[in-house]
Amino acid sequence: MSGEKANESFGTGGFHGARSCQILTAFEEGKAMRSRAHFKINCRAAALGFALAATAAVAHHSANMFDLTRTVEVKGTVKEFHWTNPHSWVVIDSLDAAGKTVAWSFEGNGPGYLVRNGWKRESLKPGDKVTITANPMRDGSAGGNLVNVVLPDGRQLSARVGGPPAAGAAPYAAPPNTAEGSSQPAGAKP
Amino acid sequence: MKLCALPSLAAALAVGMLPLTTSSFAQGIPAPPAALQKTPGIVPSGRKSDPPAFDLTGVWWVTQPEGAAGFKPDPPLKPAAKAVVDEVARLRASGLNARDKTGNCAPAGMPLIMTRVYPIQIFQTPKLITIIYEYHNAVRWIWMDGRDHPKGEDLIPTYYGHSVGWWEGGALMVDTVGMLTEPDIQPGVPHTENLHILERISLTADGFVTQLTLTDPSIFERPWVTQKTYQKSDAEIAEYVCLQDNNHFTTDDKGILRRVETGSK
Repeated sequence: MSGEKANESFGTGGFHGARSCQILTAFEEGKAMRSRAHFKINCRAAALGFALAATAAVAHHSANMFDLTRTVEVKGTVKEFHWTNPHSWVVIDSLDAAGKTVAWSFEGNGPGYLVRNGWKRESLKPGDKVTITANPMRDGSAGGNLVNVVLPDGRQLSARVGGPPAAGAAPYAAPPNTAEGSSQPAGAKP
Repeated sequence: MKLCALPSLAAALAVGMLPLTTSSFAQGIPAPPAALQKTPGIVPSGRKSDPPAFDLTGVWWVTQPEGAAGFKPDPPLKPAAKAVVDEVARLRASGLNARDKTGNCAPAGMPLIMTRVYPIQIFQTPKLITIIYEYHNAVRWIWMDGRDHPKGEDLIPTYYGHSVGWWEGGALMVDTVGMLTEPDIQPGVPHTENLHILERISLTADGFVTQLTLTDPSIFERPWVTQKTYQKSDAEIAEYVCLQDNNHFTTDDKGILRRVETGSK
């Protein structure tokens, strides 16, 4: 898995702070993955000992890959339910607009977290017909950050994150339904 | 022989030794050397402390009035550090997971751990306050026994630093040094090994607030004062072992979610 290799540290030296580092140039050129050696040399030359904590191919559960400002709704059949830390995962098969089956992967918090919202180990079983609301992947790929699940019997399970609501925060509200029978969420890329 | 060897092995492993002969079992397991029973570098601070003003024992949940995963107001950055912050902000806005390895199970460290929206459990005793963070099941030890930070090379750089505390004017003061330079304070906000965090913790109507003063002269123009608030919670903290199932999904170098076949489960 190249992502893990890419995530290795170059060390934890101090930041000596006088000049900016070539890491920025590397990223601007979109070559972060390919130019790590280049980065290392340049950074050392610039007397910046930052560890590289920045690659795209890491952090399967970074919220940064999701567009938290939008939600999509996907209907489908549960294929897998991972009841695990650091995150639970729901994989469903859903028909796209062309009638082709697409596997969508949704990330939620781990079991210790979701049980506070009423989730249980067998809340989702393979074969269950569900409707999932999620914050979509920014890149439009078939996945998202789990927000809410409507179970076959109509009950809903929230994957809301957080303990006490933030001061002034709007209460959680389920997003409006999309067209019945459509598995292609509004605004999502094909 | 077999019956004797198994408990002997287990007991010996418990003290980090491996029995080479049956005679070691017959002679019993020696206690660890005296040097291993004492942590070097513990020095008294000479600082006076008021009596404890309150008891933080219990479960608390950080509130996020400033939004997720950060500290507000923004830090008073020197130009070089600001250039890093601005660039990382730009990269993150484009969806790249710039300068944040916690998603790959790296420890959050101090003070980034305080931005994670999970409960914490505090155990307060007269000489030691222990905080367990559900996120990564991280632990901080705040020494209340009058010790100072270890000096010179006795101070071991760690993710959560070395914390000492005392009571002053109705508040719990906590002083932390010795934090590893990775991870960032928050993604993109760098620090050096000179980062120093002074916390002033006081009670609120439904919880407590910790005011943080961060100093790091080569990063900040002046001390950065920020805060986190916590509410009392009825939650119980849960296990969170990040490596349990960290390999089933990943994102590729274009940020596209991929399933990873690991052969397990």
